[in-house]
Amino acid sequence: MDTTQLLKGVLDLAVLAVIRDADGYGYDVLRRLRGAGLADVGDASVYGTLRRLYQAGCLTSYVVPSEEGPHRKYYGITDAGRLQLAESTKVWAGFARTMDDLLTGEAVA
Amino acid sequence: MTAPTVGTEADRYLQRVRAALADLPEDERNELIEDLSAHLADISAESPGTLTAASLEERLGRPEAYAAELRASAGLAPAPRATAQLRGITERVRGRLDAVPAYRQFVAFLPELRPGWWVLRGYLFAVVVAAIFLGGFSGVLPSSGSDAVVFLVLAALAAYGSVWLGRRSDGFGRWGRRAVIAGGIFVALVGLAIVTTSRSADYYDTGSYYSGGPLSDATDLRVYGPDGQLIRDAQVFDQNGNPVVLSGSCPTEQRTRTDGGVAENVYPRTVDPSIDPAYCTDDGRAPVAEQLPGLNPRVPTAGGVPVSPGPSSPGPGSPVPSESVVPSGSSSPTGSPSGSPAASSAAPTPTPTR
Repeated sequence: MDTTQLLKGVLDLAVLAVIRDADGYGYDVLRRLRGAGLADVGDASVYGTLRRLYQAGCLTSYVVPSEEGPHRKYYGITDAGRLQLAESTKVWAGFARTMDDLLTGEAVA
Repeated sequence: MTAPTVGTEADRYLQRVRAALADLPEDERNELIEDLSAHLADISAESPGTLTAASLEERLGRPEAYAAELRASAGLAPAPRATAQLRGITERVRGRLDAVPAYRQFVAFLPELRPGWWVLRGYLFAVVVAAIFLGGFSGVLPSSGSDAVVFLVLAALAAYGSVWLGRRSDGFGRWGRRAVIAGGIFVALVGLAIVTTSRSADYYDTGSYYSGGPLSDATDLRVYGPDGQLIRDAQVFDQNGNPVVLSGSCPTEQRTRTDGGVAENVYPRTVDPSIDPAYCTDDGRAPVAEQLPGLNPRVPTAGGVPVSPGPSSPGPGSPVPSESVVPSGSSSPTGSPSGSPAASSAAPTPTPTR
């Protein structure tokens, strides 16, 4: 099954979860998502999602000068972001449970 | 932020993404591009020196696909299609125009002009029909008088029909109205083309091109001097000083004037012996006689200034082409301006053998 279709619905959640743990810049967030197992996540999707969450007020951003590479735009989570993450987590947990029940139930029957 | 070095594959990739985001507001686009700049810098830092177009596309997808994914995930509108973009532009232009009072007045005035357009449409329709079934046009009427009468009746009927159509076309469906508009534009363009080109034909008639009139059959001209000798390379002009340029298939040698202009009025045209002279004649006879009978001296009239052919007549020693008529004695160099009428009448009057 193509996970990119599934990712579309939960990428907000995944990005918020990654940044809740620690602030990060775009490429860093991307690497952490991939490292966590979301190998199919698209570069543009992550950058676009960061931008949308920032504009929605779920993230703050600040620029950190860097000596060797480019200046990095770091994102951090806001209170609004935490609130949305908590609500989305509840929705996701319920949804995942429903899907599990449905799939295991079918498999048993 | 560090932008990729201009000319590198990363920069080319960036520019293509920028182009695919061209419809976005500039601030928005710049921020997205800035993010991508940093992104590309991170990628190249990861694998220095090995960034090719192929490796970039393998990593990120095609620039256009990247831009589309960026739009979708950032919650931006997808790239507009070309027709939608065009519609957006026309709507903006219309909005601006509607804000101008003079334009609003002009639009409000347009319905007043519709009956005039209906009549004009009818007239132009008649022009198109007449141009097909009647003779040519000179200006706004057919060139021949009887055709003009027929045309005027036709134009009146067409104008009536056009007004009738105009008053009813509002009741037609969408496609019916479009058909009426398209037909009107077609008739207007063709009719105006006929009327305007017929005017330019008038210009040529009165100009230097003798496409009609008494010279219409002539394809070449032969100019002979008073001594009966063919004048070669004569430049011929009409009463207005316009060069006389005959149409026709007579082969023409391209000549230029010393002022740099092209001389198309040089006669006779058939001076090249390699060209079959019969090509330039209607009846196939040899067209150019080198020598014809000369002119008698002009009989002096009261107050008239006698013009003598002068001593330019061929002298006794000049060669006489065989096909020429024997010159009469009166054109001899001894002829004086007071030559006797008796001698003149006694001279033979040969007919030139064209």
